[in-house]
Amino acid sequence: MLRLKNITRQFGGLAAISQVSFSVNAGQVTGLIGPNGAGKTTLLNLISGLDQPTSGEIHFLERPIHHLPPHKINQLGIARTYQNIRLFAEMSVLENIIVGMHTQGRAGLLSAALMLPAYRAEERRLREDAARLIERLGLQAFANAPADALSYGDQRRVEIARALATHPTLLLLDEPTAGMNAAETARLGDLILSLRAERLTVLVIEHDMTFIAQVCDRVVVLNFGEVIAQGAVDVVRANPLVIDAYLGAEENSHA
Amino acid sequence: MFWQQVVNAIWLGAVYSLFSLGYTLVFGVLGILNLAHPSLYMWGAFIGLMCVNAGLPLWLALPLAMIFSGLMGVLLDRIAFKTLRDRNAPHLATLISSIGASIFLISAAQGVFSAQVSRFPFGVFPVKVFTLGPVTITLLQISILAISLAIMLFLRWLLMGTKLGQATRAVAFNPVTAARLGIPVDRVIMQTFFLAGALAGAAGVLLGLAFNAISPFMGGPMNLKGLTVIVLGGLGNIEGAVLGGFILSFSEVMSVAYLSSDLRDAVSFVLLLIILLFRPNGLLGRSSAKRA
Amino acid sequence: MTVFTQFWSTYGSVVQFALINMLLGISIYFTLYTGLLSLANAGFMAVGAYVSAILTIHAGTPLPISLLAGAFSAGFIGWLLGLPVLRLRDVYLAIATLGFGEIVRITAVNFDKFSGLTLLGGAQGLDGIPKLTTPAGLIFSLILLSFFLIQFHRSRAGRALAAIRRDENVAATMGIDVAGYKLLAFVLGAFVAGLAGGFSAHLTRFVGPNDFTFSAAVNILAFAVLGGTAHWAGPLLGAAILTVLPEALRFMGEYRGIVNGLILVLVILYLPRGLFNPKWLTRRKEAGHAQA
Repeated sequence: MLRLKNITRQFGGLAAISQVSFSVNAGQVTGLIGPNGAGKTTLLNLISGLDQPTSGEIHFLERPIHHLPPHKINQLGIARTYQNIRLFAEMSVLENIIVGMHTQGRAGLLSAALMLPAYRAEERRLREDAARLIERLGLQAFANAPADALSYGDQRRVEIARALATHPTLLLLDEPTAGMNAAETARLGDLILSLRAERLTVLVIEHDMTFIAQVCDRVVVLNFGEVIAQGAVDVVRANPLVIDAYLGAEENSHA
Repeated sequence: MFWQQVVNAIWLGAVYSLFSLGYTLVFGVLGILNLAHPSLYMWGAFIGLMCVNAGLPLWLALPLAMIFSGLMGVLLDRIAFKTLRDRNAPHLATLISSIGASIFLISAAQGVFSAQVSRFPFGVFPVKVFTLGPVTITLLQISILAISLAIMLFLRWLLMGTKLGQATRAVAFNPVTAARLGIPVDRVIMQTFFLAGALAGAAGVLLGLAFNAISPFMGGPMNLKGLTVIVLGGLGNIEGAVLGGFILSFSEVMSVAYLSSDLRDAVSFVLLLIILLFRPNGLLGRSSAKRA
Repeated sequence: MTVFTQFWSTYGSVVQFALINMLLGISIYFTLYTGLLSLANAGFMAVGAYVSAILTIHAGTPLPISLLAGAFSAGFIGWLLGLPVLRLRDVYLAIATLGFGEIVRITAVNFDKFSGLTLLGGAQGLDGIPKLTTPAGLIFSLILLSFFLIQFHRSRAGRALAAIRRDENVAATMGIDVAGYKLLAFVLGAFVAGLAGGFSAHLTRFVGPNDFTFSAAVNILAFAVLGGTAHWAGPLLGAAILTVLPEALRFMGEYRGIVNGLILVLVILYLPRGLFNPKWLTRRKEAGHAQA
């Protein structure tokens, strides 16, 4: 579904990502793991169009997307969340999600200004859809609260809801469990599995290996901007290169 | 005819560069586009005129005007920019603050010196014309060129050859790192504003002498020329400002001579827009310097 | 009633200028709200003023037609300018739009000479425009625009702009065409500025090339800075205050402009969100949206 071919991204003279190739299969949950600074978020930025690769190609549904602007990429069906939550802070939860439904609206300026029936009908439909998403993510209690008043874990779920509101076929999650407690993490895992059951494809960056084992069909391991292993979770976990990478990173962080 | 135009363009370009150096220096060190820079230029011209009117000789009036406008630059930073810098305010806020400061300085000049055009008394500078084949040049033009070049060389030495210059370049590169290295960042910033103001003041006195018309509004047209110059050279680029000054003066002088005098003002804006659209980092800018 | 007539005969024109400035406040609100520092609004105002005045004078069109033609022309020019220029960010955009204002001025001065027509009146400007602007017409337009703004913020486009204002990148990954909506905001601002220009031409009965330069652009900016752009009513308040204030400060004579400059600096330093920033109001408004 998503195919990365020899992706390299250099900042100044340094390669944050070099010669990365892997694929994300439709209907699967793929994990993207690796020590801090391995280039995971950079890769997500490249896929979502916020950044362009120095060289290499990204194909989505057999179409090259590496030179498209982010909104076009989203319109093709890729949505994402952010590691450092980036909600529209002063807007309510419901408003945040309705912004995510931007591409499902048609009403132009004029019909809004004149309050034409088509505009009103569309607004009603968007609100109903948003309400359904809010229910699905269990956010009913906060629907009208400003987004920045919510707890960390709840904000993460709002971000997922907002991404889902764009009707993606591929969802990119950047450390979705960071700041969540064990119960919340488990619930999020269930949600991702239920989304997979509906044929949504997911690429998720995560550190929590229990979570990875719970949701991922396969994982890709990144270290120093290169893919060092990929495959089923158990196989990859036993890979000596991967163990080294994590141990090495740990030694470094202790040093 | 042609060589005469070349001579005109050279001395005019030197003053454009002088004016623009301070403009681009502040941007290079602090990332501030200080739209009040032309007001310092205007105040410098007035102070120079005041000194002359008070009976001081010109060679004393010029440095006095430079010191005054330099101090004004420091004051401007303390009042209009420092608070914003400490707060880490967005570019937009700094730009607006500089606009406010410039309105303030222009209105104050209007109140102090009146809105009329003031002139240097006749004979303040000896009228002497040299003829070299087809080219004539006045002593004033030669002096302006010589003084501008001297100031520019001094600035180059200051920035490239002294400890102060080293510190300034460190702050321009990264103020946080510079502070960690023990560089007195705040003092460097004050010195930068002093230098920029002094350069603007010098340009004010010299152009005030050349065109003999000083008014509170003289900064307006100069501002737009200055912007063209520093964008041509790349915002924050010192060598670029000198190059830009001469490019602008040559395009202006030549288009007036060979096309139409109505086009003089248009030239700088056409240049400005072309550069902004096709090479926003300037002629000497590297693509990685993209600050946008 | 006599009290009112007396008041009107003294302050009627001030009130009408205040209303026109409120329109200009709305025009710059569109761009500032979207995070664009554009100084092109004075230029757009000039486009609207010239086009509407020419139509009224030469074609005898009724005021509403002239005004709309002026506004649409300004919007069209805004579109042409915005396409290339909006790729530039903060400082660069400010410089480019500043250059645009100057290009409008130069065009107005030279158009007749180069085209051989007598249309814009060159440097002297265009006078003898019929005085057709009425307070009722101004108030009607303001009410209409306010209604539009309220509806706009509730619309899909309004939500997209709100998202862009808060986080451009996130908005883009939500499928919002950031560049497209910035252009929309730019064009809407140009349209309203053109409308204000038309009203102004038919009030003062005169349009001149020097009425729309840098200082005019800065005045418009000051409306929004003083009022704040958190809510569209902010620039309206700012425009009203800054129109009436100089009347109240007449006793200051030449120093009057100082206050404008001071206000800009002080507001940016100490009230960065402007006078009109009722947090409870924006909060409730957005919560109210959600329930509606």
